[in-house]
Amino acid sequence: MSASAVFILDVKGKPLISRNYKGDVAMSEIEHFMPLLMQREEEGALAPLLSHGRVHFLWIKHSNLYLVATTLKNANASLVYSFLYKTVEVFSEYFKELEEESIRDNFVIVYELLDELMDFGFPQTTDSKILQEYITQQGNKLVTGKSRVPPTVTNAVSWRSEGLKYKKNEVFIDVIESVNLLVNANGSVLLSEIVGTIKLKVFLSGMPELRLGLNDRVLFELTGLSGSKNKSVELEDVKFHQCVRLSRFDNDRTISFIPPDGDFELMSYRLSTQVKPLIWIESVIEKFSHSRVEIMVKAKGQFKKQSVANGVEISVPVPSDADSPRFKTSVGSAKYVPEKNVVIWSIKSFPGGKEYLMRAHFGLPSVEKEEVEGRPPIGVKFEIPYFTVSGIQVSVASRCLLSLASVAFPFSCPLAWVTSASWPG
Amino acid sequence: RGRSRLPVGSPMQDLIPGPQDHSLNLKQMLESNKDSAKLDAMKRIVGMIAKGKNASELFPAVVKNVASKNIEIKKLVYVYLVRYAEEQQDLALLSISTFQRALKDPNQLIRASALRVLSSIRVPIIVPIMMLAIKEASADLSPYVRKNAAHAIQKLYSLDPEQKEMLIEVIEKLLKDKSTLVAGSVVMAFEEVCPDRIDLIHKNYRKLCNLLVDVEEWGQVVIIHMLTRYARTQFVSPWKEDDGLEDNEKNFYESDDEQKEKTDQKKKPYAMDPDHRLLIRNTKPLLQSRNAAVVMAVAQLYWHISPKSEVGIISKSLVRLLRSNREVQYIVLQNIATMSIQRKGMFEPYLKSFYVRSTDPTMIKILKLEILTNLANEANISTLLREFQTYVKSQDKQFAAATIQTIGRCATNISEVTDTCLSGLVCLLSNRDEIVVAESVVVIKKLLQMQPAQHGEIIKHMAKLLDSITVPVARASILWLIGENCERVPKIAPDVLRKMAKSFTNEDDLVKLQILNLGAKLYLTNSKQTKLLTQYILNLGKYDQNYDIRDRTRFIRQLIVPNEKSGALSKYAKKIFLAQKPAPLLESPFKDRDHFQLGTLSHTLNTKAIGYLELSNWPEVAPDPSVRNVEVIELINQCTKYSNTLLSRNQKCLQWGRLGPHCSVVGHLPWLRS
Repeated sequence: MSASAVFILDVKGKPLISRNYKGDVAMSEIEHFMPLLMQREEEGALAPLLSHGRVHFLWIKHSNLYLVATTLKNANASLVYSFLYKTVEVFSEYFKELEEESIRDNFVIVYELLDELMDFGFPQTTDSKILQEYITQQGNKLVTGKSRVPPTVTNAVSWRSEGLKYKKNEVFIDVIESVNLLVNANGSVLLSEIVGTIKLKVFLSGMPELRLGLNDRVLFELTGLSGSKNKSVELEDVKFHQCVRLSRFDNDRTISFIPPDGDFELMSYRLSTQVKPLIWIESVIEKFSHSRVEIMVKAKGQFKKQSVANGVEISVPVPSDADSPRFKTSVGSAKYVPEKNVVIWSIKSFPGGKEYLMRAHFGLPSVEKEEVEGRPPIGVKFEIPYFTVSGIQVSVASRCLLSLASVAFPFSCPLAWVTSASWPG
Repeated sequence: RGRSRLPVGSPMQDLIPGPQDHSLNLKQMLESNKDSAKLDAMKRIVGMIAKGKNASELFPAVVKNVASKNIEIKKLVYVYLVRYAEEQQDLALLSISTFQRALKDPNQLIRASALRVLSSIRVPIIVPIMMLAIKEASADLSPYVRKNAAHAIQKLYSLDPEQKEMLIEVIEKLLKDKSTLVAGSVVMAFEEVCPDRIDLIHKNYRKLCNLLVDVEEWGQVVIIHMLTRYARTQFVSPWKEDDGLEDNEKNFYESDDEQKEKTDQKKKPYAMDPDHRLLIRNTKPLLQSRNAAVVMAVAQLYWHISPKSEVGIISKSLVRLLRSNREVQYIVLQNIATMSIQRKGMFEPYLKSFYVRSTDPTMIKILKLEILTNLANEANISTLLREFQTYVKSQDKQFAAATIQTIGRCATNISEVTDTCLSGLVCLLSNRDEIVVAESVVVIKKLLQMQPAQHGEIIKHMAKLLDSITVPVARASILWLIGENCERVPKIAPDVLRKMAKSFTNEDDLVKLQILNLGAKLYLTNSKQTKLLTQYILNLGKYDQNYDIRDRTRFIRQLIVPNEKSGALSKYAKKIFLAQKPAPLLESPFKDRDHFQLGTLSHTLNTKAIGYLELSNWPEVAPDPSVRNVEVIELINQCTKYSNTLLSRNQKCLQWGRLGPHCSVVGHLPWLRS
């Protein structure tokens, strides 16, 4: 049904670590992977699924690593990709960063984890919180508690262990919203939507059952509150962490759950509403081939005068072969980040209604490279306290915290903007 | 608040042995009395395995430690055993008795891991022991051990398929299990070992449907796929005939005799089996799962078994998946492409979600184009064409070329815009970019071929392009077009031939062949002007380096230049060369993918992968639905259990309700300012 072996390869295609789950595909098959990948890349027909004879490689790339699952059989492709991404997630939680070095430093744990994540090609415990209970960084630690067995794997509530105790019971909520806008060249918005996630940080004792309240329009209609003056939002599609009782949400739109301990993402949602970009960016980029490129960026705050956006970061892409940067800004400071090929213009506080300007000048080498670079979007990141674009409001049980918002804005061709904000209550 | 992250331990690099690591040293460590030394040694050894180094010589020393009381050491020894047992079968047998003891351990986790390792040791001699262990474990009190028993079934089956019958018995027993932990794993085993024994599912069908929401996500995927197959064999089709209208009038699933059957059935109204309804209803909440694989599985279930009027709800969830990783996007878009061919309406409201972003990788762009083409209709085509115009300017050449082909397909599918598209493509001919021009030429050629009348102007325009364009395929296409329509452009055609005769020797082979063709066609229609030119070209072709061209030359000469040797064929030369050629069909590459179950690897590959399980057609008459009835006593038991849990849950809620006054005030939060 699923993978028969999983490999982690370095950027050159050399296996760093591998785990053979089923033994029906020879481990040497992986040698065909990299040449195949290169060949397809040259042909411009790169796909996340490559086949060599009877063997199929399903792969993803994470930083400088390739994670490859091999299979002979009719696997469920989306399951395999979900699993590979889940693996990345688990490793990242263990080692902060998943990269070649962290694998090399932690061979034993990686091997154990691979062993635990999948059995005979079928995903097992993939919740890193649970895994951390019995596969720890320092094995010696466990010697003291040798008779203790992680009970969680055998629980019905597999994401929370029993017997947790906190002196101070706290819950923190972050609402992070990003706005995607598709704007055509003359500035009219083709498509706008808000993608939001609600993140919880939970330090509660025992097995608490929580309920999350949202100003969800469907719920208001259900309870007959729709006529009142409350502002409500219509969540378009929502997805939840495994702990949320989906059947209850389906019946009466209540979000009730027993939370995992610590950080987790409770839900994400999407709204497609008309959004007025909160910070409008206009840019003029003039490129004089072989000599220089001149960039002028104008940012305008389109929100209420009394509000202030904090920590505004505007990243403007520049050609990868640019050199000798020079900047002039009306406010804030600009910095060239060559590894990402962007200029980051940061403004500490940006009051509504104001307009700021930045000019940048770069030299270009006289020898130009062959391929033409596309024009990646300009990104804007900022937070406005106590404000969400969607107007979503959240409350958890008796503890309430509010969080805020974000927005962004683009300039031509399809763009994606990300903004984030976080406000512990 | 940074408590949630574990401290990152000291790097283990110092544990990784150097090149001349002394296995002697490791052996000593393994034999020491101290657990810490043993553990250290085991870590080094597992480190060696992980790096792909051979550590098999240490087998005897390691195997002794299998009985270690230290759970940490034990774990690593297990890892080692699984890796090397197959190579050192005799020595591996030494460890078996320890496993047998561990299988009786009071600790469920130790029982489970012993079973897991025992079943992973691929040594044929221990098959009977494994079989026994699985049987015992399947009756274990702990659901976790039973779950592992279900996994062991597949492992044993792959080691020794002859155990099938016995294993099926165990599967049958485990299928009856009511634990959510076991459900996913046993269905997985069922799919591997005996997917055809659908009769085993009957009694458990309702239970599986009800448990589904609470099963872990990976298990959900497997169960949903299995139940899809089950539903297709047990229920009659919920698709009414008039639903089929949208299916581009040819219903893949309904063969002729089935249609007849259906008209008979029409007399009595269709009523959905309540079990069928149960499955559809119980999977719906899972569309909100955060796991893409689960959403995809539910989507395919709806596509394959729900009434056509209800399939619509999956589109939103699928569109949402487009926000996830690109590999997932790739799979989802492929499935949407297949669905959108059959049912445009499903995805039309989301048209804009398929607009290409400049940051998408090429493979995604091309799939999106495919979907946009499928969704194009009279109403939205003008918007789409405007969108395509931007795409053509893309820096990604492959994508720009694909867009031009897409325009061509839209032009043929929607007759209202054929002319607009054609003129748009002609505009592209003056594009600066050669690849764009070349692709346009090829597409225009196809379009003109479909409606050959009055396009003399375009052909003239293209003839002029021959001076500037260098891409061989495009040149060849133009020449072919002129040859085909030489009677419509009587003045230009001979002149083109003249120019080509001049440059013949420098042309690409592909172009040379078309020059020969053009010469032949002109010779037949306008021999007065072109006789000498053609003969000159034929002479050039005769001495060409490429044998294909020499062959073609010889063949054409025999056909068109009558001499005493030439046979009866030359009489028909004109008919042969200037026959009415059928227009090429511009079709979606996803057209015939729908016979694969969506979401499977086979669908993605568009070929049958090993182990693909066919979805059967709906039965004409529903098999006896009473097979799914469960004995009443059991049901009652279940009911009481269920109401008990409900009761306790309510109590919990009540207690919780006392915690504070706000908890019930959901959504009404006066202290929140926005």
